[in-house]
Amino acid sequence: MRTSRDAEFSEYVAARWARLVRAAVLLGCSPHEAEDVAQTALTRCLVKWSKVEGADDRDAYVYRVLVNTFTDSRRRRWTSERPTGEVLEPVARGRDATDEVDARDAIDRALAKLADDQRTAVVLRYYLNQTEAQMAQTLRVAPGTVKSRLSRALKAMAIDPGLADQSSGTPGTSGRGLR
Amino acid sequence: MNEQELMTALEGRASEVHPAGPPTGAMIGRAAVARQRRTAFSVVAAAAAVAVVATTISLVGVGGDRSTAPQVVSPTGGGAGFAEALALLPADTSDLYFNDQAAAAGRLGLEASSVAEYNAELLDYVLADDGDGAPDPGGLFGPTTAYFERMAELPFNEYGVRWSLEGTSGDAFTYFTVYKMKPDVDLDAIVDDLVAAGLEEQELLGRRRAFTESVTSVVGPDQTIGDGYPIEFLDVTIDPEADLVILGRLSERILQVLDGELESAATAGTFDLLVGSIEDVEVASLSTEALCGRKSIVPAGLRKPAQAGHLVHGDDAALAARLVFADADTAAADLEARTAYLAGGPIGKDEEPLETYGTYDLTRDGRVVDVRLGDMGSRTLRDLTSDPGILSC
Repeated sequence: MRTSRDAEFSEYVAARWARLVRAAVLLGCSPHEAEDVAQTALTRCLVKWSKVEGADDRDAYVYRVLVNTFTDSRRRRWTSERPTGEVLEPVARGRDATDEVDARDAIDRALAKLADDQRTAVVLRYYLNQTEAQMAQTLRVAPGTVKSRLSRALKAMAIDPGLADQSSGTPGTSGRGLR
Repeated sequence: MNEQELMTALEGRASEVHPAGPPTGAMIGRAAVARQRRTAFSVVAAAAAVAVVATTISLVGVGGDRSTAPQVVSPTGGGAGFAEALALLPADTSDLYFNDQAAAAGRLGLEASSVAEYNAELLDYVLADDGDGAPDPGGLFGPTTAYFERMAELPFNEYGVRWSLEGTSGDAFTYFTVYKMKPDVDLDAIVDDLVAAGLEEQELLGRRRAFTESVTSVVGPDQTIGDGYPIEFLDVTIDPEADLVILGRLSERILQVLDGELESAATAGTFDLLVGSIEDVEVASLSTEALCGRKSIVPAGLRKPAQAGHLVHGDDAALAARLVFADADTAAADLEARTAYLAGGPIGKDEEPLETYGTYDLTRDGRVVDVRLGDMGSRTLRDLTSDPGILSC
């Protein structure tokens, strides 16, 4: 018999699955690996679902587990493909390749150039929309460490030539520029 | 590119990922169950791709007062390894998997005086096959046993391991692995190797730690670090005085326990209920949170325990499982349902009643239900210990 908790968990998975997988891709997983990481993270959440339910911010808790699962997968992996800081060469495209594809390649390359901790910070802040305080909790580091990681990441991305090509050409004009 | 553009770019990039449909809660429940299936057998099977020895074992009952704190430690006898392991675990450890590899090797007669001899005997053992196709259920195979050949020339090798301990601690599911090494193993040489391979060196509470935050900078094309260390060795702390090699981010907390600054699972009695009075522990798979997840098919009437685990112990590798329920009434209801389930089946690969495979016994003491298995083939024992529906949930 399905309990209300089962139903609640299933509902949560249905609602967040795609976002968790996509976050794992941005962290550096292949799409297939991202599904494994997301499912493992949810499995870990399931066995402690009472804690997840009781968390002030359920998503933040799950994101924390996701990041730890991703990190563990990198450390525990033995036989699967090598994690790499290099981006595979993009598939050759014709002159009519879309700007969207260029943007994808650019963001992939820019993320891959970042140190692991910086990339994680970028994904948490700018894709999963965590505040710096939430990130400090997620990463279990001091708020100042979050700021410095983000700062270093943003500086690196600000001068990334690939991203510069994709930008509006007015870095920082919004008052929240990457510099 | 400003922050808003970055957010848009990330969202756009992510939207190009089209994951398969979300898994159902039941699927994830089964995955949660699978997390419990920490059999060393599959590791060796994967490494050797051969059938392995089966040892028919007979089991003895659980003696003593099961509701009292354990007397696991026999300082000079068997079980000392497990006591040592509990003494260095943080009190909030929620689950553990322990293998006393040296004790298992001794029990199985794998006597060796060198890495080469030990590896040869280990390989002979793995390659032996008595037709049952399943190995001894004891603690011979630890986390690195699958790599015993490729690590033979390293300062860390299978011959040097006395016991290993894996576990989870804290609310973010942080894993750790601890190896108790033989006294003559040069632990500094392990750190030297890893530092030479590109890991950073740091002092951690007076001990040497080698670690890196950048996997890509130290892992070679063959997925090893340096001369052949598994990728798990990305964060290694050694304590030569205690003969310990600690992997993972919890090393500081484990050292704090070792230094007496944090309470240990031994003094806190974290696993007392599950261990009871059993001594000579060779294998322990224990969870204070009974990670049975959302098992999709739960035999009718079985109750979900609050804690669960199983032990392999003694000279005959006896197997005992224990389930601790919220209260005596729940335990009584579970005992009735579990007794009926085991008597009726379907159990194991043949989907028969449990008595088809051998003798067994269930007893209850308050909120504790004990399951003892005797005279069963090692394959059956493996099946049962890897199916939490029978022994854990």
